[in-house]
Amino acid sequence: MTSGAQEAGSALPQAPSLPTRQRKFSFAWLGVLPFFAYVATFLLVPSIWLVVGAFQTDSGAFTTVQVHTLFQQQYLDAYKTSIEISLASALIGGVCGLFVAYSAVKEGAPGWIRPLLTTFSGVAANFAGIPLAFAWVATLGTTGVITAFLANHGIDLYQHGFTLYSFTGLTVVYTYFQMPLMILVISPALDGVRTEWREAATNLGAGQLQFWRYVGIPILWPSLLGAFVLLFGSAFAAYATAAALVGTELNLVPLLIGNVVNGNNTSDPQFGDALALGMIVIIGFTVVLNILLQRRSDRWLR
Amino acid sequence: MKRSRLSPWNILWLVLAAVYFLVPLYGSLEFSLETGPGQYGFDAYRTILHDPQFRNSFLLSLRLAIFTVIISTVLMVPTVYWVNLKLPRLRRVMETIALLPFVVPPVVLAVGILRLFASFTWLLSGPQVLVVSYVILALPYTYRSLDAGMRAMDLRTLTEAAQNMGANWVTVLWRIILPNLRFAMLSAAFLTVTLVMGEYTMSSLMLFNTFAVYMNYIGGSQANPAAALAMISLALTWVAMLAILFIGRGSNRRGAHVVGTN
Amino acid sequence: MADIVLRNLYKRFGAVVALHGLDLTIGSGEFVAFLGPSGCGKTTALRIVAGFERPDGGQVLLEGKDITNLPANRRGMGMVFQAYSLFPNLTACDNVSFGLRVRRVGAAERRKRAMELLDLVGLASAAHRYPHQLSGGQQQRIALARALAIEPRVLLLDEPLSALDAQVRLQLREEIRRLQTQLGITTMFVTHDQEEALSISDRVVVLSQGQIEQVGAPTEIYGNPSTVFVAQFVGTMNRIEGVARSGGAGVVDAAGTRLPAQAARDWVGDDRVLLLLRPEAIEVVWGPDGRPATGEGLAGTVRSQIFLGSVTRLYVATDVGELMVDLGSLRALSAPIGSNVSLAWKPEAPRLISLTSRPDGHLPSAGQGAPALAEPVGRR
Repeated sequence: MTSGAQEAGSALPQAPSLPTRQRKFSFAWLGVLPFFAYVATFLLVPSIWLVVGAFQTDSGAFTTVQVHTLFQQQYLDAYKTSIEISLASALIGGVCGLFVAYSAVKEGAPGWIRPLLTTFSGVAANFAGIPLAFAWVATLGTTGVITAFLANHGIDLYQHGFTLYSFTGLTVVYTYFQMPLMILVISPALDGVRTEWREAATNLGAGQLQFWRYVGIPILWPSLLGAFVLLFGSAFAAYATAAALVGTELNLVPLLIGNVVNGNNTSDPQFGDALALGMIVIIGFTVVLNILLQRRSDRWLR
Repeated sequence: MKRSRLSPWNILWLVLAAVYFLVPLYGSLEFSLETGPGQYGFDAYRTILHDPQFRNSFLLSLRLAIFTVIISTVLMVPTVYWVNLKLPRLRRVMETIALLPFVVPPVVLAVGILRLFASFTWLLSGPQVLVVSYVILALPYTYRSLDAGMRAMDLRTLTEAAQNMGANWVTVLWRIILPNLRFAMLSAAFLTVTLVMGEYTMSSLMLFNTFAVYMNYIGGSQANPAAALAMISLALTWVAMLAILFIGRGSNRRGAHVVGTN
Repeated sequence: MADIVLRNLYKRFGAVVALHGLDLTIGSGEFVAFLGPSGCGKTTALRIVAGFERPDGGQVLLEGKDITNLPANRRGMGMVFQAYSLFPNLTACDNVSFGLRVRRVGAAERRKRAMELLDLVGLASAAHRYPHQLSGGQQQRIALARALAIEPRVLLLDEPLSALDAQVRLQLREEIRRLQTQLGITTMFVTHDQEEALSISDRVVVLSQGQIEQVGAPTEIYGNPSTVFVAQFVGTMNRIEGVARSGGAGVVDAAGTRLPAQAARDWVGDDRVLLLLRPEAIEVVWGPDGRPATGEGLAGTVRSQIFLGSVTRLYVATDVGELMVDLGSLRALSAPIGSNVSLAWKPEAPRLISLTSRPDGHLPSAGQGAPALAEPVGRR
């Protein structure tokens, strides 16, 4: 490779741009080839395999049977529940995260709040999965610390029908990583809302609400929506926490997929493909939406 | 210069956030220290630490993490280098690829890999399949870290200066780029380790006894030790986070981008 | 229109004191520039008047009423920021009418008024464009229109031209002055550019480290700087250290030479002084052959020349130091580098600032008295 470059240089001293354009390019392309080959092998092809498999029978013939099965009530319910949990946790986590982030990003906040919040959010967002599930069991489970605390003060949570191992419980747990995720994602966007705009608005007579109504929200909404969409996708795809907490009690799409894989569900593997396809479609849609919204918000918040 | 001050509304939200963050942590801490009604001790921790399964699963996850970091680095550093230096048109492609693992979440990826490589027994026979998958899962974070690091250096000038003095591309990468990329690589490494140590979905579906799988198993039967495990896991995440921050400060970068998986 | 009184304003940020008891009165319809280097407190003073900062001490009075604690959105002042203050999601027209919309003026009325103002600043054609489609100069004009739309009692401008190109800066500053005169609005203009301040204001307030150095009309500030700081900050000055003696014949001793200075005529006591002389006040003595004559005046050699357009600045080495001398460029051709010249000036030209009497360098001589009081002067 280098000898080739030297040959091209011939009698001239080695200068950076000496090899012909074409040789330079093939060099670099060669350099990135392993990466693309890897990604193709272990990400793209498996995904395509799934998508194709969803439309195949055992023997490989084309069929839409599996996809049709998806539309059976129980599976539609699973999608519905998954979407509902994702929406709920994204909404709650999103709104709360927004207010918290704003309070920390605001110019008047003490300097130590923002780094502290960022660190905590980083930890909390990473704390998802199994450890998170058990931390909440320890807190709000049947013998959890808060449950016991409330019981000692006369409020029996579980008597009142609450249980951690349910839709509500899972939403509460998901919010634990949704809120920090929102904080991390929306803080840069909030930074982009210039103080000059706020001050100009104030100077012209606007109050807080008026500023947000006429300037703040219109500028921020693409970022807000984009973040919300990210949160939604994140909850929709979550498997570990759900598996640990609700197992077979709740009908959730990731769990269903898992069941096909580990044999609890004895449908054809192609059905698992179909379920996965459904998931890819939904999340793919959210990711595309997020990208589009991101472009929109960049226009104003640069 | 202080412009506006924090209003009561702001303070309320910050306090609520603090409470919300800390309560489950407190909950698991207390739970992990409960040995009986009203009694406290380190029994739960002792149980865990004496369990050979704990050590096995922890070490397994750690080994997987290390291999993932190695493969990730070897794969990504040259790639990000070439894209930044010579192939800027590929940047869009790279960013899209970095988003794909979100579209194909662990659950789905597990299914895909199991199905596609069903007949490749050498791949599926051992945890190497996990390493292979984890590299993909960690892609968004490693790419962003390395890319940010490369962009912060004046890649073109460094490369041309080195070539001007006679270095070939191996030397350039090894002696010039890598040392300057130390911080980004360490940051990416820590993010990867955090991810792998906590990964449950793929390992459980592929039937490997990683740390998270072990945790879930314990949790199914013993609540207190499970809380203890959660605390240990949390402590490790904190250490990793502080390490990243520390590294980040060392390289004058303002905070690392840390987003987890679930 | 309103008059503003700043009374003993004091402001600190942590350990840094930004304003040390500022006292100033701005008359109705007056155009006052706040001039000084970064960190002198000029922007802080403006923001206190606008209501974005609360002073730690002192008061702000508007038309006699204490507004120190009045919220910023109720002061009825229009402010133009340095840059980026237009709302990016609104068109130029909507930006200008924003203040009216907040005051619940009807849509038709708003549009009419906004178009009037856009016309006033010459940008009626840009009414439906967004800020990112406009140049820096255009944006600032729209910002000005927006501030004027609410018919403010006071106009506040925070370095509005600093972020613009030189050419645009010149045009815009004329326009700002023209509009201000036309509308008669009391105006506070903050800048670090002394040329800006001197060219368009009725009065200039020179600030340094939170204190007023001098207040006065532009000619006063330029021609009669009362402190060392003002002398150095405003315009270019030759500075010669020397001694003024009592009963003196109107000269200053410097490095063995006697320099004519009317101001030293009735000096009391022997003082070390700083003799200040503008480059344009020094003349080269010309001989009958059109070449520099030697023998009279201060002897020197031309070390270098800088061509400034219509004027060329000569750097002349003399016994009292290197002096800057401004000559018409054509004449300067007759005094090339290396030539020996004699320098002279009218005895009334130099200003003297005592270096011994007071640490802040306030000048007691030449009958000037204390620094001009912070009183308004009539409009130019």
